[in-house]
Amino acid sequence: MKKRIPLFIVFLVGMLMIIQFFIPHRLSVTFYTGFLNWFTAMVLFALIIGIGTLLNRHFKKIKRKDDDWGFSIVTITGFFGMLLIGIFGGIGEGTLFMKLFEFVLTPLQATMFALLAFFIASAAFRAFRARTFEASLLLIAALIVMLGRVPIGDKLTFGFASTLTEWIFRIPNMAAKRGIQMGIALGMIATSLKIIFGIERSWLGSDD
Amino acid sequence: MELLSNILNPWNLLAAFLTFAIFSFLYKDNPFYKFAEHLFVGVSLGYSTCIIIFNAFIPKVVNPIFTDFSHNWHLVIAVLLGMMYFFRFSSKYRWLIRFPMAIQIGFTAGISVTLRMDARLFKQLKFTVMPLDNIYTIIVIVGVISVLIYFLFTFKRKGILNPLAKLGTIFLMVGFGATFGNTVMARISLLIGRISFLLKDWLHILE
Amino acid sequence: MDIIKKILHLDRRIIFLTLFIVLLITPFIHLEMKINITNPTRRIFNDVEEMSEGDPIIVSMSYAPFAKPELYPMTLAFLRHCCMKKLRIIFVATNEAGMSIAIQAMEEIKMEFEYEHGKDYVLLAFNPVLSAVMLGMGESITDIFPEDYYGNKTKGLKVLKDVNDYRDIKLLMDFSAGDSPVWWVVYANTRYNQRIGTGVTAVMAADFYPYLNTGQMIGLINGLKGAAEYETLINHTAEATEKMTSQAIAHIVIILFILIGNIAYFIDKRNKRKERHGTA
Repeated sequence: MKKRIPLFIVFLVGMLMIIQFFIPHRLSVTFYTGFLNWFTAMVLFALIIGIGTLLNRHFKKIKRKDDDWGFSIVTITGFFGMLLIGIFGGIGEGTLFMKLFEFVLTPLQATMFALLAFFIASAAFRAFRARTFEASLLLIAALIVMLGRVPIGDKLTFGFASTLTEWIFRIPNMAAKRGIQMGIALGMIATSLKIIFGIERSWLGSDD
Repeated sequence: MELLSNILNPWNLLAAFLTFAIFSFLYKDNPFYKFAEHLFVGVSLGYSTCIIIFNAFIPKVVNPIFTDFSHNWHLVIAVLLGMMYFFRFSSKYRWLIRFPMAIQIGFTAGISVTLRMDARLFKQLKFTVMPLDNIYTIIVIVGVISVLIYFLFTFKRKGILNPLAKLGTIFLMVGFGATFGNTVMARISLLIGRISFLLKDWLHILE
Repeated sequence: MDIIKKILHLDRRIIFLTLFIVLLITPFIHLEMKINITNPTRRIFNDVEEMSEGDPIIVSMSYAPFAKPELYPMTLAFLRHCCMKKLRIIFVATNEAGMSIAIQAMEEIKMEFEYEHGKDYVLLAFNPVLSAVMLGMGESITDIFPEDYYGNKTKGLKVLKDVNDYRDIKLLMDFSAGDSPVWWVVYANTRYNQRIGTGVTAVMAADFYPYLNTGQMIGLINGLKGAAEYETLINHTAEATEKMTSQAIAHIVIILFILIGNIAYFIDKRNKRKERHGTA
């Protein structure tokens, strides 16, 4: 029962979703929209678990007085601070919530990602070498794109870089990405079918 | 005077402090960076939770059940199923989370099979060979086939498949090169954004 | 020879500092730049250009604040174009922060074009179950979003008059820092034939060309350069165009880094080979 019923549910729901795709009947559509609302309500609880798990880790860190436990207090204060301000002050225009979004969350997140510019510059200098034929190809394509995507580069090459860049994107890049994505799609479809038919069961976990 | 009041504006000052706290990591890891990093996790999570409560939980769960129960009584079953996720924390009843998971996985798998097959396979295949009226279409056909062969691991490649796979790597490298070139552009744009905040919004020394 | 060794083992903090100083100086340099327009950007512009007053479009906000430097300028340019054409704008978000960014964007332009929430545009709520949202809007937008961002009932909103599902939407424009455009294609285009346009970060752009080729995406605005192109198309020079000088000079610096690194690497390799032959 602990495994058979969930496996049967997966099969039933999976097949229903496949079948309803091919039947555009009113009944099928009504069932389908109802199910979407139902599905949303259920999945929201999975998100609560995710948030709970992360907070729990920080609470444990504080309780055990692990290394850097003081910073866990910062995380928890940040979480509850933002949550309570949003709940009691609202989340619309001109609220404190929006101010914190603009002047705390945005600089934190944007600067964190801006660090990547420095790392990519360092990688360009220290690691990006034309060691092999393949690496040289990658390097040349990258250099052309870097030139072709900015006006100065285009001017320096008399418009050649931007034309070539568009060609690289449209032809060889497109072929490569299409090959990769078709491969991924085939893999995902195969896995989905294996899950529906109960061949792939790793999601059930190992216990029992 | 106006410049000074801009610089000392508490909100801008806070944003600038947090920006520098994160930039300080470039020198080496330090308590300012750690503070900013942990604050980032907490505030992001608090922000997301708040949005989910107001935008999804209240309109999709609370309001339908409490304001129009007769039409939405069935949502209670969804809520009960959703609450089964909490058994994750119980060692004895942990297996109960398989029920909501089964619905979630079954739905995603079922929807994916049909739609993915159409969007990511059939349409892509069709447009690879059509319209077969210029040299570029032939380059694309060769490219897609050779890349697919490169990823063929089911059996050992022999004969013509080996040079084709090699050709696949050429297409892949050019594709990755294009992505890399564009990635450089993206990362630089992000840094320009932060510097623009410092010079324009905070210090007001840039028009 | 020492110089080569020094270059190869240069402290990376010097590289960091060089880039930082370059980007601190470049905003003060003004170079006249001609922005050439790429086809995928032009196609989005043309599509909006052909719409009539009052046509409804969906704008999907699928990015967090980290991607704002790249995506916000194009979002603003696109929204400005929609307002010029007096289109009805329906915002959805596939990222929690999407609505907050939409609020900021509309705050910047709504006064100029006299746009009113509920009448000319609406911020629908964020819903984390993306597949349900993307599929549900194909059946009924007000069913999947019973309330807007501010908790008002969506049924009866003036902006949603005669708008029931995707069939009534002229274009769905997704501004994204991830792979959400593919999901819009999978769910909204494949199943409901919704026209999809997208504005993405440069990191992701190369991955979407297969969908441009099939017509599953009608056009694509690519990174900050794409935003500058759109600003040029609508004749409203703004942030993206202004930042192109910094962007261009930074690219040249990175290219120089690559070249110097490679030249040093090959000289070092040749020297090592010479040394080996010398000792042998």
